[in-house]
Amino acid sequence: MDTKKVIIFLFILVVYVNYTNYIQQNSAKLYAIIENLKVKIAQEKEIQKEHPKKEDLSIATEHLMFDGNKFNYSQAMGKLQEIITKSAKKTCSLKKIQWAQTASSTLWYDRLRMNLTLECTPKAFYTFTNKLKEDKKLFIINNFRVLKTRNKEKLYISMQLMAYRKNK
Amino acid sequence: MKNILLKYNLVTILPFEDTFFYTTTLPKNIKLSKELLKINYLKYSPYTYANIIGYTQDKHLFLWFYQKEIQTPIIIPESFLLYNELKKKNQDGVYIIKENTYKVIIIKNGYLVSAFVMQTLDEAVLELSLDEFGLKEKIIIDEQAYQGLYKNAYNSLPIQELYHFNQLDLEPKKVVQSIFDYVAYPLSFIIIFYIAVSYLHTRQLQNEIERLKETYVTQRDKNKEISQGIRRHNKEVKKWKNFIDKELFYPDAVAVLDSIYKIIKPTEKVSIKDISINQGNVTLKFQTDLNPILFLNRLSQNKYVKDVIIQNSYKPRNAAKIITYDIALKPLKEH
Repeated sequence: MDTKKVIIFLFILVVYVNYTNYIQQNSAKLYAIIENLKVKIAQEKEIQKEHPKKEDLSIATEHLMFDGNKFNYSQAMGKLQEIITKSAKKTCSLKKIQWAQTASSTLWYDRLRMNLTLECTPKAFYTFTNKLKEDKKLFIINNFRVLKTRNKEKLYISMQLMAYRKNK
Repeated sequence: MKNILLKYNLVTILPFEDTFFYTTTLPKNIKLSKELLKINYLKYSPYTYANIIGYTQDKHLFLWFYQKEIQTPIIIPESFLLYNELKKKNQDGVYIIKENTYKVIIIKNGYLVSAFVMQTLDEAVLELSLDEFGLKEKIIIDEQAYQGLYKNAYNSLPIQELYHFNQLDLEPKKVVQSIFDYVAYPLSFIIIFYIAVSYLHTRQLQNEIERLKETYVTQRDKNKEISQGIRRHNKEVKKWKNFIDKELFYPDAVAVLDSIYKIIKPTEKVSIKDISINQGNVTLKFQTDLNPILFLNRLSQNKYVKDVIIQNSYKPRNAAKIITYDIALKPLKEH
């Protein structure tokens, strides 16, 4: 056997083994990375094409709840009572208003519960609810009960009015 | 395959008349190298300059001497081919093949003991041969049968027999060495070429990845504000969806009340005694002399109502009937 050939071949073999073990990279993996990057770039370009405006991405929800930065729980309840009283003026006779006890919420909002008793005509009651909505706050009515009074014109209405306060 | 070897001159069948056959026995069943055959047996050759082919069968050594210079790697004597075919008959004897000349093959105890050519049929020689080897049979093969025999002899020759007649020095170690010497440089070149191509390809892919990464980072930075906005938006939407699921499960009580009022036509004499709406349940008391089923049907068609039942109805003295309806409201999601 030609010694020179053996040495050269062995040297090349050593180079090959080291190349495959330490230098050569998995082409399939590299192709996968390339494909992944191409998809990501395409997605980014798609976003630019659609070009959503800042206002498109914002939801106007600020007015729906009492602002936790401006009002603490008691202040918010006070504000709610003010709104109720104001709305009931010249519409319904506000017989009773009672703050409900509310456990501190672990959610991102607090429930503001107010138990009310009103006496008014059906039409006046609708005026009252429409006035409540003028402020664009979100109100939920629970435990709603409507009874007839002796005065045939008027209704006796009891309810729990619930509004929300966004936590800080 | 054997025919291909023959076609491409890798196998030569040495004609009967070009060889001189000699046989002897060996103490052991061994394969002798070409050099050993020449040293030990060339003295039996009738030619001054001769080549030798040896074949060992059990302890019998068959030798063929010939003068021609043949370069093919495998040389098979014709007399061996014919003997190999004839011995299948299991019949010892003197076989005489009639052609232009007379080819004589003598088989005894299944071994080839003599093979020679006669220009004319010499009965005396044949009788002498029969006596010499103690044989009785003389079998004549005509030219046509010979052609068939010759053809069959080569075709039925086992492939491993070709190895016995190869003229190359096929010692495994030397074969490996010669193959290595032959392929070492081309193989080295192929390996280097592969490494180079593979390395360049990998580099090219890495460069492409780098380029794409840069493009991606640039694009991402451009869209950073938009992406953040989308994330914030999605977060906000999710938050409000959860809120709606939790807090706004049933329709607004005022809207429900309004829709219930509307089921009574102005001309109908109905008095609503009591309405209570709590979560998804409504209790409704009507005082009327009209058919309670009429209002049940109307309530069933109401968009907020899921189910409605008449809980009870009774008639007070001197007054219209009081009917109590229990209504289950549809959750907002079902609207």
